[in-house]
Amino acid sequence: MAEQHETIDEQAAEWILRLHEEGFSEGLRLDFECWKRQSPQHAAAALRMQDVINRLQALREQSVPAKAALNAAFAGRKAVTRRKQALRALLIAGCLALPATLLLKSQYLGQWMADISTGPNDWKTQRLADNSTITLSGTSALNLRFDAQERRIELLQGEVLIEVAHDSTRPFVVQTAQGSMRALGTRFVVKRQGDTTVLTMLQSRVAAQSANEQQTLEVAAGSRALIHRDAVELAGSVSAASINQAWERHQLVVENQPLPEVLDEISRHRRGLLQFDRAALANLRVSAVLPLDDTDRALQLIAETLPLQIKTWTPWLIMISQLHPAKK
Amino acid sequence: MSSGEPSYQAAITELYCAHHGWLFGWLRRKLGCAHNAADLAHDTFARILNARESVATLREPRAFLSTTARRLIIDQVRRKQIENAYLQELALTAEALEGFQSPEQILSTLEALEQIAFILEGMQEKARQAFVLYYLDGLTQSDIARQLGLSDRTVRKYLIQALLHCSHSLDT
Repeated sequence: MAEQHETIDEQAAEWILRLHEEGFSEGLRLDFECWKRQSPQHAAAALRMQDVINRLQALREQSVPAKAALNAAFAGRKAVTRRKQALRALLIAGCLALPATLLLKSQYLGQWMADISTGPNDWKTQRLADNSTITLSGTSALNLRFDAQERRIELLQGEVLIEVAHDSTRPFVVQTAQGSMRALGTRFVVKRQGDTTVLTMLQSRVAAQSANEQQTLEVAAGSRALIHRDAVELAGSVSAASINQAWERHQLVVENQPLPEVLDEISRHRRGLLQFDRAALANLRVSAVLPLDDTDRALQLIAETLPLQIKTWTPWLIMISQLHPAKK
Repeated sequence: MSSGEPSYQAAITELYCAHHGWLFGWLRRKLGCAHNAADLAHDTFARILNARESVATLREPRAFLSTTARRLIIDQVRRKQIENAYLQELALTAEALEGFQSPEQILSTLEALEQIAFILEGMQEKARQAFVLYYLDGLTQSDIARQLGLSDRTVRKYLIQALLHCSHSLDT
């Protein structure tokens, strides 16, 4: 039966391709109609293929952006590798009862998706199995890898506020492409920013290490550190109270920060695209407290203090450029 | 933990027993790999459990499961990538935007792209490229052969393969 199914699909594909190749000639079309009438399965197979073709052809007028989008969807995707056998054993346990351990599924989830992620307008707070709490701001993603030896979080994108529950037997480690941060019990924020990881300590201390393991630095409460693949450096001090408040109120607190970085941050918290020339805006600096739940307002606030032109094509596309002194 | 409450557990178990086999079978055909299909089917149920989504009164349980699986494959991060790439290109032809592309149109195009990406997921890379060049760009098979550095015959073989994949992908 399955074999027959396969043959029908193959024939349908052959027909559809031939029709296209031979310019949809009338005779061939009639023959195809006859073929389709052989059974509902024949017609359905043809319909499924035609459906996908129609979806693509509907985008023909904008083939360039559509193709760019599809390329982006598949760019850098490795072939998905196999996961743990343990998982399969769990599956086989299947119908007996879905065990509560499924809820602790985190360690099994692999590359399909991040274990926990947020969209542009999301904030998500979650209590973990060890009673630690994490909060993700917009467009952020992380994987959880908890086992008997350690509690590990891989921050894939965006920013996370972590409140580590004390557990002297299992260290808590946050991992990014640039390095790792190891803590026993503490509260801190980790953010991915381009090819740097920014660590902001709110309480106690952690040991931050570069990915090449050449540099390790203890970072104490009230300090900020930048972690690169080959180095860790301190980058000034912060007010823990104001950062706590900012997370509570979904605000972005920036002090004398380059505008492109601030725009990146805002972009993470909205759907659509903020278009700007990074180099042209690099000299402008921002100090402000900006509402991340209302990014239109945030942009307005920035424009009130800086000479910027904000052009809104649609809510999906906003272009920001430097306003040049009036030339008349 | 409240998820241990008997009625919810029973509803999930019922959903699992009734449809896990189907979900696995569909994903296996779609992804062409039993291991990945098993993982993804598992993750789909794990996500439903995690989100404590109400499953007792589902009218279309299979549509619900396949949508959940789709959100796992085209996750938030990937959606944002699709969105940014599309809008970036659109911005280059900004004048064409004026009074032409409404926010609703953009939104519906993005949704269409997301669905296409999901359908194409699991397709071999060259087959996917050939398929998109043929039906989206409207190139001829020999143009595609030249562009991808393949023989005409291989391009045709890939197109057939792509159409088969589409059929499997939509065959729920």
